[in-house]
Amino acid sequence: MLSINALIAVSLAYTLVLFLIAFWAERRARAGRHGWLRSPLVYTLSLSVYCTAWTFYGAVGSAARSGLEYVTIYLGPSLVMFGWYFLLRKLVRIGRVQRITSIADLISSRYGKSGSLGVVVTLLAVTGSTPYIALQLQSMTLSLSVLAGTAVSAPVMGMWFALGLAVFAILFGTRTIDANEQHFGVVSAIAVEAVVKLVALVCVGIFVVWGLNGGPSEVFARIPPALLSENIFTPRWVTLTFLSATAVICLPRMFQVMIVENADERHLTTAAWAFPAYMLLISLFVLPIAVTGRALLPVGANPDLYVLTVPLSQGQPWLTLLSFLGGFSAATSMVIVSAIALSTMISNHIAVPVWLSLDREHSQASGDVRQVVLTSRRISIALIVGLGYLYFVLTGGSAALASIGLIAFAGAAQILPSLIGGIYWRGANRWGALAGICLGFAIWLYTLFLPSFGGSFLLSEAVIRDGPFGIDALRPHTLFGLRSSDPLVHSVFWSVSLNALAFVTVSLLTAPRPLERVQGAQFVDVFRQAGAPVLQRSATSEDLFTLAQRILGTAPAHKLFADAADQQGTPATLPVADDRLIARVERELAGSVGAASAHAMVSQITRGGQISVDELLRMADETAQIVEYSQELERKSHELARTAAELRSANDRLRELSAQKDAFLSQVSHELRTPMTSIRSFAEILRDQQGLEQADVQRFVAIIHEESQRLTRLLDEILDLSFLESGQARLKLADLTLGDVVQSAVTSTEGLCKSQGVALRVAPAHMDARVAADFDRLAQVLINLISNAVKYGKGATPQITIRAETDADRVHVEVIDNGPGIDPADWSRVFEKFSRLEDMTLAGSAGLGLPISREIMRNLGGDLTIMPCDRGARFRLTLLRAAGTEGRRAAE
Amino acid sequence: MKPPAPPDLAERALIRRKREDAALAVPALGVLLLVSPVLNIFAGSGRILGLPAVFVWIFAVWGGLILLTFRLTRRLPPADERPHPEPKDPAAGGS
Repeated sequence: MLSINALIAVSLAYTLVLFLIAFWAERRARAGRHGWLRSPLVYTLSLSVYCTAWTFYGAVGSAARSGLEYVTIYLGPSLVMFGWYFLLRKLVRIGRVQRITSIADLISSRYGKSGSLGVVVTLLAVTGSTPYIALQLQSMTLSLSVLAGTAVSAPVMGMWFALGLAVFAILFGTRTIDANEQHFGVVSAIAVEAVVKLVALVCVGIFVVWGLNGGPSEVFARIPPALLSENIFTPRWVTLTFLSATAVICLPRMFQVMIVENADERHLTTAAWAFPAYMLLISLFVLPIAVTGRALLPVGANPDLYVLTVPLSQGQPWLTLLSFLGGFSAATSMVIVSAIALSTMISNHIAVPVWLSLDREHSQASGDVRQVVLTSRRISIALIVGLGYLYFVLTGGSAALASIGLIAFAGAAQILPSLIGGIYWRGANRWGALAGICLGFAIWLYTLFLPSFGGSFLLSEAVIRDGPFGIDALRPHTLFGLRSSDPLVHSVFWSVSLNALAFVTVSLLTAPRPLERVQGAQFVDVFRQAGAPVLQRSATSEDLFTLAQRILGTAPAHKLFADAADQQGTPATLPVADDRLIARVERELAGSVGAASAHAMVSQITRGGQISVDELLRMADETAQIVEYSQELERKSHELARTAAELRSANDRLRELSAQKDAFLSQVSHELRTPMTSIRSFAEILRDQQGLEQADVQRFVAIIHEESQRLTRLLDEILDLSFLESGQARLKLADLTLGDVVQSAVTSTEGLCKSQGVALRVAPAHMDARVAADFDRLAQVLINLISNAVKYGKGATPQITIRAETDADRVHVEVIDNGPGIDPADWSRVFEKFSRLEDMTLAGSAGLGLPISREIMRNLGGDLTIMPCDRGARFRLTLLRAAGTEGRRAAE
Repeated sequence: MKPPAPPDLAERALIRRKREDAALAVPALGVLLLVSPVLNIFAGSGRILGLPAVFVWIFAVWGGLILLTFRLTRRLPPADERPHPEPKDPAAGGS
């Protein structure tokens, strides 16, 4: 056993060392020699204020009761740290840009520097923290009495602890109002305590695993099967992980060390992996200690104190002392940081606003507000620690440490929806946040916090069991009839989900004030904002200076204004109180008294302060630019789509043309083959067969001749067509009389008609019309049409009529037969090269007659079409009248 | 630690985006492996090297995620667009 006096002496000595470290660090920081004070290592170690006496002692107790469940308390924060790039980095940046002093300040500042939200969050935080602080006092007195082995008067010991902690917090937490609310002394002391905690727990762990047992496998051979449940993943597992992940951001002390005390954003990159590693080390030996404690110690021993009682029972006084100091460190650091964080909230969100409203006409002496702030903080610290002490004395200590810690976590989680919504959702507004936090706060009080007193505070046992007035649906542990084996899971589910629901719904239903919109934009887009929009306000420099002096003190205020004057280019005088200076002063004040109070103070001495129409327009302008930009994008994409469609159709046309060309080529080769084949076979006969009759030879040679002529003609035609199609054919345009050309064609085909017995008749009307054409080509077309009509237009008494019509500037010539005619469906096909209708080549052998004719007519500026007709085929040639005919006649 | 002069801005933006995505993937992976029914695969009295399987699983995954985050943070600068403004500079966010 260790004597109580020795323990107290050691505690005092340890505390003294901490005082010295804090004092030395403050001095170094004041001298500007930050060095390792602002190193990522110290930052990471300061985060370990998360691990309180509850985790130091209580985790082992939890492991002894329910196995691995304790791990969730460290897994949640680890997951948050792994996601540092998205949440923590943004919070830290916002904290620095907006000079955030506490979590209540963050919420209040985000929702339009709202005073009421600050008060609500402060109350929530104080309510949640009081039992938590009591828990630390309890664990300290408990550990002391166990070690001393004598009944120590708990209230007396607790009082001494509370007093010592309050003094430490007041000394180092409220020495000055720092511009950034950073306390180097406290942080350094906490960093040292973090090392002590870790070393103590790891030493006990190593002693247990390798000193008392033969290694890890031997430890775990003793593990009772009850601790290794088959279903480790349960709603409780999820809830605990969620709560601990939330706590690492939302607990006032965690927010203080992680966001407010952060000296450099880059420290996060170290803490992101180093803090989880710290927690892994802390939790690694918890289960072995718990298992060994259960095996070694009598059944009645308190599992929450295994960390102390296991080494003590094995006769290891020094190790026990180290373990005691570890627990002592965990408890003290938590109380100190919590007290500082909460006192900042109380002074900024409750004391200063009250003071402001009470004495508006107060004498404006230098630093008087400072004095108010500092005094209120000191009183607050005493009050907070006192409340914790009171709770501890009144409840006489709760049986299990872990449940109190979890209740505090669940309380802090009520801030989460408004916090996350506030930094990622512009639409979140003050009414939504107020509704969400108040509803969540109320449900948490009703279903978890008040029932935890077991009927001795506000809620009677009967109400907890049967519901108020016996209403079944309102029983605190089965709200709305939801049965859950675990009150914590039940409470967290209802409070957080209804909180988030109310937050979102009310935000959607109400409109934010202009200042909320400004703040919302600055929080959500903190990485994109080039500069904060500046409110249009007016004030006198003297008023501003007085205000700054009252809060910041004379020297810092002088420095601030001299600096501003320098920037304005008038170093010798007071700077002009433009919007920028007012905003800057407000930001500086916010770093000391919180955004809402600073805004209220500056508003008192400024006129305007409302966001002007210009201001709104400017903000709207930003939106308008985005809208315009997106419209531009849309237009361009339409343009692109149109171009793509055009390209697609061009591509289709090209592919069609290419297919036509392929078809044409294969047709041409087919047409060329036929005469070639007969030429070749007759030539072979002539070569191979000797002694042919002269007459046969003559006949064969004549065929060869005829076929080669046909071949030549065909090639000429193809050439002709390609010339015509490419527009390279040279046509000799002349002034002709239609009748002459028709007569020429008729004469050429007279023999053909006679041999086939076709009657060819030319209607004399309009045959004297003058046309602009190439005589030979026009005759060629007519001959072609006539011979076509002779070939295919075979009626009972074949007859062909040629007639002409004229209109204003055109002359139409029609060639009509009385044959079977052409099906209208085939009209376009007869003009295709080599097209065959019912396996008959239309024009000549190669079927090129009509296409050539049409090309000729088009080259002449006219056209060749098929016209509807009662019977037979009716081809119409359209020709241009001779240009300037009238004029020339007049000239002659 | 920076790769030797990456070819162009677009490539660098791509690399950066990938690392940002990876930074989001680590906590998601953690949730999948540690806060999901996956845990029940290892629950019960199974043993790995004489230790309870679920104990080994949790701490191994945890350690793995720490290493992963350690590697990622080396490659992901926290301050991106602008040089890190000194906290003492009162005009931070002003101009």
